[in-house]
Amino acid sequence: MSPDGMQGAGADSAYRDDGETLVTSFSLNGREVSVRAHPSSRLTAVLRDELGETGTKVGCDAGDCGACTVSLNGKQVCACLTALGQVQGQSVFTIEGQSEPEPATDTKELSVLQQAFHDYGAAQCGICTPGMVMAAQDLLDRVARPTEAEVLDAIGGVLCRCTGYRKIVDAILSVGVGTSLGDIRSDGHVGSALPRLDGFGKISGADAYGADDIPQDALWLRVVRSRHHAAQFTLGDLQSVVDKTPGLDRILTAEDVPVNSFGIYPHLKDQPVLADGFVRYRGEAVLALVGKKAVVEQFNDDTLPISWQALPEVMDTDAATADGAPTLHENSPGNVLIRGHVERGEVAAALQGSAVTSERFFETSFVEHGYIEPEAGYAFCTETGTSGDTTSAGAARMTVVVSTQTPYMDRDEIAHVLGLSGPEVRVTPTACGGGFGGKLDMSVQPLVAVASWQMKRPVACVYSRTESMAASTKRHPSKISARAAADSTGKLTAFGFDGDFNTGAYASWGPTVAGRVPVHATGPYFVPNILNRSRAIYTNGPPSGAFRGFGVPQSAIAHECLMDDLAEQLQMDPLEFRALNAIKVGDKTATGQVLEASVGQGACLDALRPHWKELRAQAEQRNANSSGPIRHGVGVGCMWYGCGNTSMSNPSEMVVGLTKSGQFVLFNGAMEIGQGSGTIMAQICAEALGIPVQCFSQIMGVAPKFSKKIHV
Amino acid sequence: MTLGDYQRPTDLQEALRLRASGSWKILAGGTDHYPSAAHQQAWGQSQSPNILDITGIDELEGISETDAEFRIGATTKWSAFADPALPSLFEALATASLAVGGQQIQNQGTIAGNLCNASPAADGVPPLLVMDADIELASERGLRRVPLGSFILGNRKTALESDEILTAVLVPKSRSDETRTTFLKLGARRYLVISIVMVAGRIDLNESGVIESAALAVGACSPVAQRLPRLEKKLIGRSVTEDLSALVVETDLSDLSPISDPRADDAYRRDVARTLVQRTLQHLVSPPKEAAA
Repeated sequence: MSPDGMQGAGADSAYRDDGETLVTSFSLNGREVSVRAHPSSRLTAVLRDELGETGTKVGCDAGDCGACTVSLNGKQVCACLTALGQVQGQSVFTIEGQSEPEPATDTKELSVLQQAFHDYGAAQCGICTPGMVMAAQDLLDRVARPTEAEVLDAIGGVLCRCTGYRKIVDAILSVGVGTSLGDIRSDGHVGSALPRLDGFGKISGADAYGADDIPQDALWLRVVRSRHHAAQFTLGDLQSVVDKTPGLDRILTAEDVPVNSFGIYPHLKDQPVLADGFVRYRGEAVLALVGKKAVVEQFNDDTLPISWQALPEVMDTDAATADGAPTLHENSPGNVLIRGHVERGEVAAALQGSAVTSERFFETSFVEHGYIEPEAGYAFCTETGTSGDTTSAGAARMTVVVSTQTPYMDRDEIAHVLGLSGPEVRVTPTACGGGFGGKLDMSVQPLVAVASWQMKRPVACVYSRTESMAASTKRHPSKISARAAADSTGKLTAFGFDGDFNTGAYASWGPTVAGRVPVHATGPYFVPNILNRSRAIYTNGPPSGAFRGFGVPQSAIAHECLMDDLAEQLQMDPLEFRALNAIKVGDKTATGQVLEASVGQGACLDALRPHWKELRAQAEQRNANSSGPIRHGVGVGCMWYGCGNTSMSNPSEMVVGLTKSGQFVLFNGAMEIGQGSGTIMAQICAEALGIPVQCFSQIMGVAPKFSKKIHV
Repeated sequence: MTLGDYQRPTDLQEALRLRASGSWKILAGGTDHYPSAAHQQAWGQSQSPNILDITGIDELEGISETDAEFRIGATTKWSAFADPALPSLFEALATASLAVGGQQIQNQGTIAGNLCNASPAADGVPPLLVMDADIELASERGLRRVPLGSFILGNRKTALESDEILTAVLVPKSRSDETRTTFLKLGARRYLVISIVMVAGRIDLNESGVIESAALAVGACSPVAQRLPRLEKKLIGRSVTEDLSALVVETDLSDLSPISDPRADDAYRRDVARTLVQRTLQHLVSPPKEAAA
């Protein structure tokens, strides 16, 4: 920024075009700033785009997530709901004001509160952390020693999707009572309580997420989306729209995409980057508007020459598999994408001959991942040298900088879409503000890559929360019919499962769900007779993809309800029933795999048993003593889940380099998305080499460099 | 592409003059304006309304009183109702205010915005209905005053004229020996959640603990939150030592018309409404140590 702190709004600000130069001045983290921007601009946009202070995050622009929490005159507010005009002459504090810069070193020290977040592991993916810290500081400024209830009230307006809040609450309480975990740093080997190696950037707000470091000269891309679940469309003269819209440089269509298909499985690339005359879900990308940010954001899609013809839609698996249902994809007649089948023994006979049986129907809905960071990134064409780091790109012709869980898969998918080879594309992952499976699929990647490829300019795209919800993948809705039987001693005899999983408009990870479910559907129990069947079915819903467990959690609802049913019929304790049937070393799973190493199921239940007994007794006592509407109960639920990829090999390797100065460098390919892989991988490595973890630096998820620089 | 005008007058008369002079969207806390703007932009339907920001008008914010009534200024924030100096008449509104969004929203959202947005699930409406609130509307033509029940006309519809600004909510003071109010909300979680059903209740007692007047209002179960006049009538003359919840019968709630939406279906809402009305009456006669819906 310029020396006087003045920042200009984009030249496209109509407010200024009207001849008015409105300057808003306010105090930001104790220093006076002046900004030229439309006074109804959100304070978030002003802080981030005009003042370059990107520690304040944007999760929803609607006051729903609290990631943009700042202090306005000593009270926490959502900057996304605050008009710039309202802060004229007022005092604003942001995460950047939490810690004081050290003049000597030009580094920042964490505040006491931030240090507590670090020590307690209160920041995972880190996207909510700046808002969480600001909300907590608001409380601590008013109440020196808050109660837990006060802490909960204070941070109630900030959503965290990683931690479950407990560590955040503990961190804030610790500041109030002045306790500290003390020096918990150690050699950092596996099992030690190590503060996250990447914690500083997340807690200070310094880490750059997908929307935080977009080049000034980037064009912006906004997607025109289908408002129909199913429709055909034809396009009119788009060039004339471009010609008469200043600041709109291009409207991209399906014709502009070199290879207009992508998808997780090599043989199932069934999703177009831009729809080609036919849309299969509401929210599907139809066109891409590319130009000045304010122009594409404010553009009215109703003025586009698109002629729509709505088609009948199928919104659930029953409708999609009914006679005469419209076919979504030609190569999947009846809309069945794939079937899964695991069978052993004689289920029908075993069900018939057992002492007790239970059969039930279960239905679950779409679930949105709700990572607080919406999809965001930008691309630049390395050939033209217009932007970015061209020297270290090697052979890469296209670079995409994006928030993602899977830079390597993204690289191959982008290369496929552009008609390039893998090494011709470089994907640079930014910090990732939550994924939970949802950022395993591409979102903005092919759009910005195609636009940048066509226009030879850097192009950025940041989804709004609304777009993220409409367009991104979801957890598969399921319809499950399941049955189980046991003999009179409580031993399971048979298990049957039929599940239809709504995979939405495109395949995405549907085959993984259909494949994993029948393998896991019995739960962590030994059952001699098994018939588990699954189907992934196309509908006109949003694509269902990967979400924490690939359909297995849906199945767990079914098998655990059946376990409770059988235990109740046999008048057995639900935990003891599970313990009796727990799968153990030497047992065969449904697929015939013999579990040869450790199987923790029995040990887990043994460890739970005393607590279970105590809690059950407490609940009974509380209910006996209470006449109010609240009743207490205790339940037990078990689930298992195979690590890695089901039914395929799972090779993995770890590569360590040694720099000339003697520093170890770990090339970490397990993208850090809040789960801690940026720390635990280094811990494993340190232990293996027998040196302290502090001796390592890391390079995270950068594929081309990875393949070139390794080989110790 | 143009962005609209933006004006932030510091004087009410100037605001009224502007309001009468053109087409304006009134902005205060921004808790409804900005979310709808985000939604419109995502679907390529951005609008650029002229913004009349009324937060610069000091006289519109804060709670004051005369002998007869309390005056809640239009831009009074939710967090103002946490003031322990307010009388028990305000307890339902104070409880409701803590259930709106999180503290950020409570520090930004205004009472007038909640009423003018006219959501069926507006958390401020049931408490203000049992407080017998009136709405003060100002324009260059003068002031007028309408009961809250006549101000909100339907889902997102109010009686606000295009040259008017809602300037205050007026609440008559209680004349009884004791007034109790309470508020219960059912949401999917504690914070940042839109009500599935909410109930506000009020009883005015004489010195012997007999109910002189009563008011109950149910929100999120009809286009506009509703009072329950038949049930209210049954409560008059009852003593606070009785189990008032036993008086509730199905037909007391028969005017509700709950919808099915992603938050709940109509049958569930109807069931919850009855349960919350019963609990509201229990709380009014024996306030629980820790209120829980």
